[in-house]
Amino acid sequence: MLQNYFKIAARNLWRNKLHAFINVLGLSIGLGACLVIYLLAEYELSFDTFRTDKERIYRIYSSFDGVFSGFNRGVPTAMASLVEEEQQLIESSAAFQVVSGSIKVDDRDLLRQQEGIAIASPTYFDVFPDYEWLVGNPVTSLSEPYKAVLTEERAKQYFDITDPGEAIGQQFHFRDSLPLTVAGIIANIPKRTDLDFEMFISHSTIEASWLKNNYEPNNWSNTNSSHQVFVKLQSGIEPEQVEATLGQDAKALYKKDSYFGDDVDAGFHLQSFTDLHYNADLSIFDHSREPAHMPTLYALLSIAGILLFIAIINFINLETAQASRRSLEVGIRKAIGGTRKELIIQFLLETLVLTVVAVAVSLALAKVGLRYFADYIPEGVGLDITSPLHLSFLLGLTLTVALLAGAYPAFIMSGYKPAFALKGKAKNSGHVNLRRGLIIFQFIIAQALIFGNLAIGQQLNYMLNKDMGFEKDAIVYFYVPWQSANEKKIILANELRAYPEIKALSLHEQTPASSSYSTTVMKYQSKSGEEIKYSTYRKFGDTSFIHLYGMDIIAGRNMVPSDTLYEILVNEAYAEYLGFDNPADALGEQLDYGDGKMVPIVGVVDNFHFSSLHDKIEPVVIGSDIDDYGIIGLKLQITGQEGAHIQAILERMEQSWNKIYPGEPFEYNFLDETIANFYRSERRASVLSTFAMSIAILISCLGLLGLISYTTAQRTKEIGIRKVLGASVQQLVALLTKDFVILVLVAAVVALPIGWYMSKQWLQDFAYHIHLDWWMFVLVTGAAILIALLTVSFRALRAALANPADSLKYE
Amino acid sequence: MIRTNELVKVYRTEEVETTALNKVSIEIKAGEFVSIMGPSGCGKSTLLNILGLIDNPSGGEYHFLDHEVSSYSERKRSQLRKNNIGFIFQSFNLIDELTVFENVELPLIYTKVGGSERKKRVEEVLEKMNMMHRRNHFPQQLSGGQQQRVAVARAIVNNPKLILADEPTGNLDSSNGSDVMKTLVHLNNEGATIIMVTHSQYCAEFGNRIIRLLDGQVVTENIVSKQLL
Repeated sequence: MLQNYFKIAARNLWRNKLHAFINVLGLSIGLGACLVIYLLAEYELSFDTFRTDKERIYRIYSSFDGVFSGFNRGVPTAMASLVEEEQQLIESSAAFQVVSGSIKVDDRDLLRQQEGIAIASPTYFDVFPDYEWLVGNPVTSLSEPYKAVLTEERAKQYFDITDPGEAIGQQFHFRDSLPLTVAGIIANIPKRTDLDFEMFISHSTIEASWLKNNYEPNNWSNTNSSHQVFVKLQSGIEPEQVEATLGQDAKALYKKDSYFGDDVDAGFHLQSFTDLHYNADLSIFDHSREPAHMPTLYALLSIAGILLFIAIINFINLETAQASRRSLEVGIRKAIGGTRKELIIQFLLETLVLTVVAVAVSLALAKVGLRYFADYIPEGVGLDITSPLHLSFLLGLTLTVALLAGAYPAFIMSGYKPAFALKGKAKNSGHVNLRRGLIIFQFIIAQALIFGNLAIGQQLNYMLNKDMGFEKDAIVYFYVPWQSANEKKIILANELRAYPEIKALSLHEQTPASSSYSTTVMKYQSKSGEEIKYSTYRKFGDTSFIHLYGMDIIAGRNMVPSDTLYEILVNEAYAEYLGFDNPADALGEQLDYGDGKMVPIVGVVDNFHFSSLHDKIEPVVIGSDIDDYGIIGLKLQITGQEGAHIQAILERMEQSWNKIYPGEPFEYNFLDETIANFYRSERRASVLSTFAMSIAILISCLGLLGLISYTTAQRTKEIGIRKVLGASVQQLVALLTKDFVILVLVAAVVALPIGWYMSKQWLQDFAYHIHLDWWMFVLVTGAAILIALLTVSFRALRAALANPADSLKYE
Repeated sequence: MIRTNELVKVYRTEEVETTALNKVSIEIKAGEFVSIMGPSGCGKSTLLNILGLIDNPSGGEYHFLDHEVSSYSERKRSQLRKNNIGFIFQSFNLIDELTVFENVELPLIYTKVGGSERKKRVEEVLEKMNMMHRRNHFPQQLSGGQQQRVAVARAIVNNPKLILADEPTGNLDSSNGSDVMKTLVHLNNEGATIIMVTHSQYCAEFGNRIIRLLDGQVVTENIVSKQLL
């Protein structure tokens, strides 16, 4: 019996190749998209799921309110000893510094910027015991200063050995001057963990070495995101209890012992370890991978659901359109003894065969999809046919889709009355409305997505082309090595200034707009005696800074040259914040630069965007302090020049660099590219929405194609009669396509408000954004109508051009 | 075997009510070969569909093999049908996607006959209908006469007690038509009860009784006196 079903299913598919092709294609595209998104979601959701007692592990993080405010994923270093005192609540704790830096082994080449290094005490492994120790153990390997533990892979990389045990006792240097001895080896870490440390340096090394200058232990003033404290709570203890006791103690100590005193109200909170991978506000560690963006993941999962849903709808639509063709077969089978149940099983099996084919095709599509979106998909996401999880997902997906897609057509077709079915007159008209409904639904989704896509595209375009308040074209900048001597910076700057191709050059702290920023709490004593404190954005630079970036001085003058803070410029927003509606009135006012040093405002610059357009323009101060200048920015004279010419200048610049910083890499950036990169996630959203939109349109078009084929087949006789009576081809095409335009218009009534609402929500994330104009609504509906007409017109035209004699013979 | 009492069938659309059968009472005994005649639209096919349990009457009684079946559910009718009735249609109604062998095999599959037994019986009946050499062909590859022979093979493969034929020669030329008629007579002689709807007086006279319908009512019943074969 089963064999017979499969046989007839296969032959049916073969016989109706176009129908099967459209059906399989529609389903495969939906399934393929669903599969890619599933793999991505499965990847993101599988991080650190293997950790023992993960539900009891929490990270302590800080919040601040006052002259500066916000969150910090780290805590002051003094927190480490405080948690050790709370043994009733905390079973074990791990305080560690996340660091990176160069590694030097013997006389071999320097390994630059090695990531994944933690300075940790043995207790780290009490909180996270899931490490396999190949040689050594936490206590013997990490108790003494100047000891390090490496993963097997790192050990082999550094020491050129085959047996990891041979690395024990070997020496190497961290950041040029910290000597370390290998005292333990752990197995390589799994791919899906955020604790991706491949080297541990013993925590006692901090006190014993120059590291203590960087990572001042037992300090409340400095909250660095690299200083992390994780705790494993005693069984039965709730995080709120810890926040109430430990958090309050820490808060009080912060007030008492930190430099900020009453100016800042600090808070200390617990973040569940299971939340680590998903909290975009706190992020994971410095230099680490990015956390999964849950809204994006949810958006993706809903997109997967919607795409699969419209693919299934499409399938149902196309199947029921074919139903009348199958009615005779139903009649025969019933007449010779087939029961309804047997027919339902037969149709469901046919759908299953189609679904299996579609799933197979979707595997290939998913592979292509993963490659195409490689830039947006983390490494390690992929289908593993041997994974029981992936296999059961595929199996579940296949069965669910086959059931959802097959149930309705099977139910309808098996219900035909045999006496009618044998005449091919199975009642079918009711399904026409259903099919129309399904098409409308598909076009609602398609048009909403087109609208959203248009809005994202417009906003991106706006952001990339908006006047930022400074020049960004033809500007190249690069960082000088960390803690470089001031003389070296000046020598390099002077050498570069001599290049005829360089129009302007400046040494400064940051480019006018940057993704990272530093702030300083500045105080102003107003005429009324009120003290105005504000955490102001710093953009320090030399006197060429505002010339290089073409910023306008709207009142006063530029600073005079100075290597230390002597005079300052403020932006218009700061002048206003201080209460000066007329910028010129702010000139000469003295500001307290934090430590009691008073500096006068000598000029006010026009407002400019200091970061991406997500942020509003805020008070900015420009001062001079050569110690802080880490960037050399320069404007190239490149109007009308070829790329090769620019390349040649950059190569000469590199030669100059190498004379002053031999062995350091010369890594330059173009400012316009840096600014474009502010909007990487928006570009990602744009790619994603284009992808979802294209698939939705594609599947909807397949649905339309199915429906027009059905309609023209049903109306063949009518078309013939109309032709005989004198209807023109145009009139007939209009007759056949009119209904589809109406369907699209009906869908637009629902889709446009949805698209508008969603886009408006998305745009609220930007302090500066486009407005959703009337023309966008017209364009979206126009595009949808055009797409629908292009899809149906070919079939309609073919039907209208058919010889009426043939169509009238049809009955 | 078959007894109907004032059988009524009414088709209703939103505005029109058409009476296809108007109080038809007939009786057919096991072993009979009955021909049903009448002009187009007189209700012949409707009657045949009801007798074949692929349609329900709107009123009256229908006794088939001593069961009152007029109000049977589709499931029960299907059970009775597959074990007792074979159909032969004017347009053959073979399933295009199945081969000759598979078409004939289908009723046996539905009555859950085992694989080897199925093969044996299909081969037997194909042999009988002289279609063995075409067993792997698809219906479109056969002539009309050959297709009808396959349809007959399919109708009799389950050894049904009742064979219903709806204009079995309507789509055939006279030579193929008379071959089919000879087969039906032969089956009747072997004990099968046959009810055949036809327009052709010539074919009708192969049976031993002719029932004439007009406007949904039985107008005459004659015994065929002359045996053609």
